[in-house]
Amino acid sequence: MIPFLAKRLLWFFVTLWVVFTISFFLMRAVPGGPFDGERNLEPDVKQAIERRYRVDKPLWNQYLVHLGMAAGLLSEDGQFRIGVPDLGPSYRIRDFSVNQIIAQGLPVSASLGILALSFGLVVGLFAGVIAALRRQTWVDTGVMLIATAGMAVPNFWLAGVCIILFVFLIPLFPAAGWGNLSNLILPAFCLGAPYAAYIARLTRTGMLEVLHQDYIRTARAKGLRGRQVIIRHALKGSALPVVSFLGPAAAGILTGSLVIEKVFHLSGIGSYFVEAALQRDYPLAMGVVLVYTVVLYTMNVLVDLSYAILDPRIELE
Amino acid sequence: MHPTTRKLFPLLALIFLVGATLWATSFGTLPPADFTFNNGTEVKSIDPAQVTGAPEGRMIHAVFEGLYRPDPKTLQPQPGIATTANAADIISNHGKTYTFPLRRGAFWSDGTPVTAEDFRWSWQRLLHPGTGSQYHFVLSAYIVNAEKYHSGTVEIGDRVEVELPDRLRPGQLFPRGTMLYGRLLAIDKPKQPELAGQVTEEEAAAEKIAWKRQWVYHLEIAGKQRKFSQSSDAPSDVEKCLSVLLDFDEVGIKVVDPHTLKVELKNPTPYFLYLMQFYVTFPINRSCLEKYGYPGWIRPENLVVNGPFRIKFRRLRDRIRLEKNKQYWNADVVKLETVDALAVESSTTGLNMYLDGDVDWMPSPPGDVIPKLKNREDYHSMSSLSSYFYRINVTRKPLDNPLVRQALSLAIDRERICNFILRAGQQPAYSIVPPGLPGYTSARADSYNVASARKLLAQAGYPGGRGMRTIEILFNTSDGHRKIAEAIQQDWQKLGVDVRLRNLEWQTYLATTRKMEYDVARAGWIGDYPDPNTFLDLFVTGGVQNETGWGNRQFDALIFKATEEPDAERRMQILHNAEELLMGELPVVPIYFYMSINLVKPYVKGFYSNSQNLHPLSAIRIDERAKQTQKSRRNGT
Amino acid sequence: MSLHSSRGDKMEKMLHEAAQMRGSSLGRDAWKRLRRNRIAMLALVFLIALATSSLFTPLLPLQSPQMQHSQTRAFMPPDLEAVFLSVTYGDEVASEIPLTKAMEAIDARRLKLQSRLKSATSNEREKIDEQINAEQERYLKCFNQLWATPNAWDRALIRLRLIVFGDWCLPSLCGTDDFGRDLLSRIFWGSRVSLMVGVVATFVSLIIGVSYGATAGYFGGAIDNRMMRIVDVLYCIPFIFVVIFIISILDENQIKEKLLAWGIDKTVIFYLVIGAIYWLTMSRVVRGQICSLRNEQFVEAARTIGAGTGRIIFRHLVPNLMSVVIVYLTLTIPSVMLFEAFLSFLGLGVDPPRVSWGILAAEGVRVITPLQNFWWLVLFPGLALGLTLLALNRLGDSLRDALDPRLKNR
Repeated sequence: MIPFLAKRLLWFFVTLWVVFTISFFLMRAVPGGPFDGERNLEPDVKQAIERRYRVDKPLWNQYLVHLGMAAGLLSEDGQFRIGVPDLGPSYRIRDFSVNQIIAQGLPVSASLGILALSFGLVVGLFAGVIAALRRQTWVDTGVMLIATAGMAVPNFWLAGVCIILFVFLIPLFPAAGWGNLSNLILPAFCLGAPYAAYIARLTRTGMLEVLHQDYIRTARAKGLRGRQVIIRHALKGSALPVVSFLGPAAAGILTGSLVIEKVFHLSGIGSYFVEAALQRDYPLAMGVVLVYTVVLYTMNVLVDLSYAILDPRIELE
Repeated sequence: MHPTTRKLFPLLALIFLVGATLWATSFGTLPPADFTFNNGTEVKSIDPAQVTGAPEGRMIHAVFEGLYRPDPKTLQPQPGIATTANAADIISNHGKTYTFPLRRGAFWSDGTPVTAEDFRWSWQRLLHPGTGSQYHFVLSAYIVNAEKYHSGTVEIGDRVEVELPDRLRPGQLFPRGTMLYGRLLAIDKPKQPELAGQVTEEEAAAEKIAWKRQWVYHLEIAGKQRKFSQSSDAPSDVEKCLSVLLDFDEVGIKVVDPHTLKVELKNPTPYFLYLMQFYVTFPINRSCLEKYGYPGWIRPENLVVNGPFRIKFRRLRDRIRLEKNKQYWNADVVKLETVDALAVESSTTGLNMYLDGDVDWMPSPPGDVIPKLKNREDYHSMSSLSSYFYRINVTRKPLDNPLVRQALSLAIDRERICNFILRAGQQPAYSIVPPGLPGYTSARADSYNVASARKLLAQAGYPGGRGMRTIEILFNTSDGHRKIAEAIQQDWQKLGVDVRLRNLEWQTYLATTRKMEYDVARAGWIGDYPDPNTFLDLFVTGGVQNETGWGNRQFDALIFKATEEPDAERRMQILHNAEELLMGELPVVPIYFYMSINLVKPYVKGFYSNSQNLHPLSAIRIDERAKQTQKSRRNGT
Repeated sequence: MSLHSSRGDKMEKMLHEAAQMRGSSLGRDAWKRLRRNRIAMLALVFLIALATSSLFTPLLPLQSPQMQHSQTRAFMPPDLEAVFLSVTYGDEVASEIPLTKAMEAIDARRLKLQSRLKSATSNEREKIDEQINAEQERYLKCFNQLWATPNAWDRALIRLRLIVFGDWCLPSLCGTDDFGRDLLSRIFWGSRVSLMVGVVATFVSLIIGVSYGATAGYFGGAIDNRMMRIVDVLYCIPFIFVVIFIISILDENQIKEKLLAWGIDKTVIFYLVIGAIYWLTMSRVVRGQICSLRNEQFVEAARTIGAGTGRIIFRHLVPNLMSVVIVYLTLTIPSVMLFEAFLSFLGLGVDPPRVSWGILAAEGVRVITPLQNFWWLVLFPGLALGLTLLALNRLGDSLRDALDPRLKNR
């Protein structure tokens, strides 16, 4: 296990570096600079701002300095130091550094994401198991139809309809904002619904596959009751595809939350994926992309680990 | 792997999941503020020298105070740090000298008094080229020598200031490095590099700036001759410096005594007092900035303010919580103890929160619901000093033909756009200057007339639009802009002109219009001060904001003449003539004048509609009893 | 098969099945199973009908998807009154007349000119040619007013429609939007963009994904390892981020002009970019399959008779992937369509007057507020999108079941 983790760690840094490089040059290739505004700037004003944010330097120089800062080896003016990664100042939200912005937004995103994912897991597993056990009956059809409906509408549509229904027609939840649990139920539902649907489908397929396996037959033959067979044996086997889905799901929730954050006015980092990109706030955009990479990568490693734990046949390479 | 770990794993995973969920649902609750409003977006900054937008302006008005503040009803300047707004007491020298007496009871929140020196220093910072303020022209366009200081122009014989490269924080303007003051004797200029081939204006400007950095300045400082250059590879007898600027003492901003500020203007400027209540002219605290540096000084825990409120905390993209500043000189009139400024960007979400009772004031509700809101008592609307128009790229065929432009303008049914698409009572625009400026009557372009549009188009050689290429309308991504573009597309399509729409996200849109890579582009302009000039001087030949390629000597001459005309009535007439010229040639096609619309709960008092959509928080108070009745009525139903 | 059926039943069933067992190809077998699945068939029929109708949309007696009637018909709830097509027609003086009338006038003049052309001298001929061109342009402009630069195929269908239905259009069965445009017609025209995005983007992802995955899987070893590492890294960049930037870069004027010369407009770019991003999963799936197929005997056989690498990959291995690929396709199309909707919500979708379901859904969500009840603007686009994606999902699931070899002959 140690060599596996060491290898993954090495690849982690390689991945981060590649993602950094691609994003850096992709962003700079786009027309429009971060300091353009409605009012056209005089050349000297523009120069002054560009000098302050060091975007007047040649591109490779900026690249090296930013890379060094992100690696925690350089300070903003190019001096050597060793410390925490510094993503630099945000070009748009000028009173904050990117580190501060992410530190403020990440807990909100994480709360929302965890709730949405738990909702997806609980509902999805439950629906999937029931559908598999009642295969090709109206229960199966019904459950799966409802489950897939969650994947069939865009989440902004779902959110819009939910607000009208559950905030105004039947006033159960507040319209938007952040503060207590009731604020989070609707967003978590809207964000988690497609994942619940996906998990339900995966569980159902996995379950059906497992139910045909010999060891289930053996368990049944030993005289175990239906429910026990399902919980102790079948569910464990069918959870594998679900577990492997959690990696991409976590990443998807992170970026997918952008719509939900907008509709429900939550201050997570999801919105920055689009906003920072559109406003050419390069450091902030870079920051959220790196966060995304870290989350996705960590989730994938965790998935691989739990895979090896759940399935004895799999060995960590 | 050990079998026990394997067995325990599902349990551990479950515990982890439950733990995570518990963490995710644990929050500290926040008591609601006395007054909550939607500020529309996360503010870029609270530094008066850095920002340009209305949401930022609201925050700066809340925490800082300048010489004057606008009256919430009439927008007339009311004494702020200055003690009187009476023109006769302030203005002398045929309207060119302003002497502001400052209040003795005004203090910063760190206990030090607000003095004339604070203004001088803050304005120096605003004007300094290194600050890069976009709104520097609020001072530099009017005050003697301010433009010269800002642009870094120095002439032989000028008194100059030199900053040496020994700043405490190298990347930051303040605290400044050692300053030397002296007289400029000569400048050695290397040969200006010839620019090869085709270069854009932007590249040429950058090249010129780079060339200027090579100059060597000969100075006489305290009787000694010294040489300075900004370039680091100058000869060894030349000292390195950060900048050589005009001595700020030469600029017409003078401290007479700690409580008297004197400003000398280039020309009599009738609206100068209005500029003094514009947030960019507000002072900031020097010692705070120099102590914490940028951006540390803006952090709520460090920020030193002199306005009615102070910042308690700032949660990004969520809210800014303000609380009453007890040290504010006029703290007695401030009724609100706490205020929340929410950064809700989606207007639909904002409306939902307003209707749900989470928000007390919601500016610009979504256009689609306005017909339903119009007759409610909490609906406030007012025409605002801003126009919505289309720029036409006159360097491209067939739009270089004024007949075509006139035909296109005539074919736009602005009444339909205003009454059936915008539906908030916006006025159709046939001039670029909005109505309601005292003493000014706009020059009108012709109104909607398809028949004559067709005739003009035929005259231009395109009968029924035949032979004319497809025209592209460029707009930035937004629902409202898209709708107007669609409406105009229909109008022009009926004229026989094929129209393609192109929607670009904001930054690309800006770059594209700047490079003039468009046919017709959507634009808007908000007046910076209540005077027609703020709209008209955009279109002088080669102006930074022109972006249409249009230029007219006569127009330029009129605009220049107006700046020197002392007589108000005649000045307005000259500006009117300029607009007439513009509306005859139509490099810009006006579409409509904006409205500012606000939804304000009936229990909010002290809120008035006005043309600049300024609503000082210090004037707002809450009628608690009315609020309670409304809440209980809501809960009852 | 139910778990709770008794053992005797099971035995009997198995015997029965064994008796019925016959050799048949996987494809035919799967089709047989699929046909028995009523929901899957329903989904398939729905999808075929949808595809046909969107291909032949101009033929349907629909109102113009872009003609605005903001004064008279804005926000009309579903309604049963028929509407007729009309255009503004004329040069210096114009009036609004029925479209068929305008067409007749143009055609008559064109015929007259053509007959004159026969007996004309070469000098006159030039002039007449010019006039005929003018008539052609006039005719195009009439269409442009109603259908935003239709291509030749659409124009032919529209003419056919004018012959069959005349100016008559279906009433606004789904209501109208803020401009008074007919929602029903916009849904049909929007289906073209939405389905197109789904199909083209998926197709692009298919081509890239299959070639990439098959190559990696076939070669195996270090090459496979490296190629898959690249995929892993690319996975770590958020989609939306890349899409915004690539669309912005390709939308720059010089590049745009070049692409337009190739006949690629923004909408096509949009399809391609989305497709170019969705290939990652496809390549992983394909590689996995190829890895397991690589050592099968038929590949060995092909190799011994001297087949080249390309031939083995595309001739022998890829056809064996069909089942996986088809299932995956039915699942990618929905996610691409949702992604399009997501981009539309952000305002980054196709340019008006084109519409897509994403744009319609986003528009609908924007106008429903507690204050006004324009339910049709939310319901119908949501329904169109929802039903289509549901059908695709169900079909995908059923296909997977049907193509599962373990369920053979059941």
